[in-house]
Amino acid sequence: MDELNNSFKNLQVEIDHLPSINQLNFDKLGKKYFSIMILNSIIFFFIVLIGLLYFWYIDIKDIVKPYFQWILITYLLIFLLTLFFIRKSFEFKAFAFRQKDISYKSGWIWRKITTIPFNRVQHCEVSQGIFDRYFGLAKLKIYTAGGSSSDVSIPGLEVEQANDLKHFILNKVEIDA
Amino acid sequence: MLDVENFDFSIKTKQSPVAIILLIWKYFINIIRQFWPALIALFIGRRSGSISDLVLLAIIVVAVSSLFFAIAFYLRFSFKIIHDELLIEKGVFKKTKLNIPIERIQTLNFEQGIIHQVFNVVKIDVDTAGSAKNEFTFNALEKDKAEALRNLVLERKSILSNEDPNSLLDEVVEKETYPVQKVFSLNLKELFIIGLTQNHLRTLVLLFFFCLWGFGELQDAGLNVDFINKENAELILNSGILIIFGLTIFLLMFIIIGTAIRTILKFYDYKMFRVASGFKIQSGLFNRRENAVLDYKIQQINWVNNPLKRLFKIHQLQLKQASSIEVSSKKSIKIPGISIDKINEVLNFVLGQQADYNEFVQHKIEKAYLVRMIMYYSIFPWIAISIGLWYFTEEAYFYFILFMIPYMIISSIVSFKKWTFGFNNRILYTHNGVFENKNNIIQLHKIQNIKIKQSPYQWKRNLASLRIYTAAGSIEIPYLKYEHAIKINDFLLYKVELNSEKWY
Repeated sequence: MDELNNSFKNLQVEIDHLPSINQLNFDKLGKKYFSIMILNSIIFFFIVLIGLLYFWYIDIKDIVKPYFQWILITYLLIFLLTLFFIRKSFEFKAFAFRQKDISYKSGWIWRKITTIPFNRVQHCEVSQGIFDRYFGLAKLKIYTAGGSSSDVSIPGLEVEQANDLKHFILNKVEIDA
Repeated sequence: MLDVENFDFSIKTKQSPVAIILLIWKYFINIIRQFWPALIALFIGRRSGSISDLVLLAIIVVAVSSLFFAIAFYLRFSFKIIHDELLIEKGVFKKTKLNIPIERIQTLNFEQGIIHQVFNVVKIDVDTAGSAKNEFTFNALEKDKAEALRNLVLERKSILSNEDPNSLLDEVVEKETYPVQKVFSLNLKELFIIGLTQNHLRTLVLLFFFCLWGFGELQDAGLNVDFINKENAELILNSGILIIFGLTIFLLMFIIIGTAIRTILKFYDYKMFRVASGFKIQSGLFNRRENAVLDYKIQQINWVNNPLKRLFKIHQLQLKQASSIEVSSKKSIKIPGISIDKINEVLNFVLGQQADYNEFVQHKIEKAYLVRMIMYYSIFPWIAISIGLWYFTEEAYFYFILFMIPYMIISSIVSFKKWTFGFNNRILYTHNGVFENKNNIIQLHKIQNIKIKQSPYQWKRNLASLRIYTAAGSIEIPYLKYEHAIKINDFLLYKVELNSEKWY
């Protein structure tokens, strides 16, 4: 710690007085988005289940039939695990706006926080999937020149909120430019 | 300066007729590139008369159609400059009109191949800000005409940007055509050394995969490759270690000489000039290129050496540029062999007096990095693989995989020891590598965004990695204390957010 502070000594601003993302109050995503995530995984679960049943149906030579109950049980366990994972990772998805930047954090096992300064935003867009439209939610995507792996998309926002945020960002971008 | 009045670009202008030859050549090469395995197969495997007739017919068809396309393309192509816009009309079947506003044009880069040099014409790459869709190439234009065009464009551009106080920075482009000061050049001896010290092992591996690929292609094309079979392979293997060793040496010699020749051709008579606010670079023997880099477009600067290059005290320097928003790697400028003194000179030009990266407090990364690298990359996977192989094949000779362990441990230790970073108000400097020494400098106002990442191993120990994105690639500082990562993150963001300098 001391070593790091020493190298900051010549700087104009005391590093400890800088606004820190540690003190940010992150807003969690709306509960409705959790329903969408669950819904998505249930649909995926049933599609794969139908595939498995079809496989059971065409397996006339009884290659996998004797073990089929085990396959189903494993699959069910994986599904429950996925639900648990979704529950956990939902808790970790959150975003925070400041005057000059936006931060988005996600990930339960592999955690990350991305921060984009508004004066580096290329453009941003609001998009809606099928379920999003049903629940009245939208996804806000923010692009920079840093490449697609560094772009931020915040899902599960209320439509008006997403549009407001988009305008807020675009306003900021214009003021900075 | 050339008299611009000599040429009137406001009327439709065509390229030089030499373009036809170049286009035929281009189409021809394209076709060869697509079908080379088939062609080789046909040449080697000429069996019956009917096939060679077919080949002759195919060649005639290809030649005639490329001639037709080249002439049609030449006739249908024209450009003019009206109302500060470069208007281009082109297209063989479908007519396309392209409008490029002059103030969007960044630079016009010239290039001369052999044919260009013989006929005294140049190829022009029009580099524009914005999407890659607007980038454009003239195949051949008479040299004096090309220079007149460039002067006209740059002059208009500087006038246009002067009218707009926001983009005064663009003004520097105006002076770009005047070489001011030669910074750096390479002679034949230096080029030879550079060719000798390239990464030949990588070339060997690439060649190996290329051979595999070409072999598959040849097989698909119907070539008889039965002579490469198990018995022959065993014959070679059994003929002793000496022959294999000899073959490898021979191949390596071949690669080294090949690389040396390629390096000399590509970088022949390499010259780097300092112009008003950027660099101009000329190089190449048969294919002479001229490129311009503007300081403010440089996003990252890095220099690398390998053990061979260390012997001769040279580095490879790269100035990574953001050209369009979709950055392509061809826009970075590579200087293949340069001494550290010259690098510092270049850095001084680009960064001003802030380039004292050597005097920074150099921070190390956390020891957990080393522990993690040794446990999870150097020991566990190799033991697991060898046990797995032993379990499945029940043959013990897979123990040789375990030799990877000491190798990986040593490279982990070296990598950990080399990792340092430091920063001041203007730049971030990193140093890392295993065999190579990689140095990287990012100007803080070039940063696009920042990511703090934590793996489970890291968050359990309160550690984090920091990835810093620029418009020309990113760099990751691994294994910092979480509080330190946050502090650096806060500081860098503060610097970016308060900075109103142009970053592209």
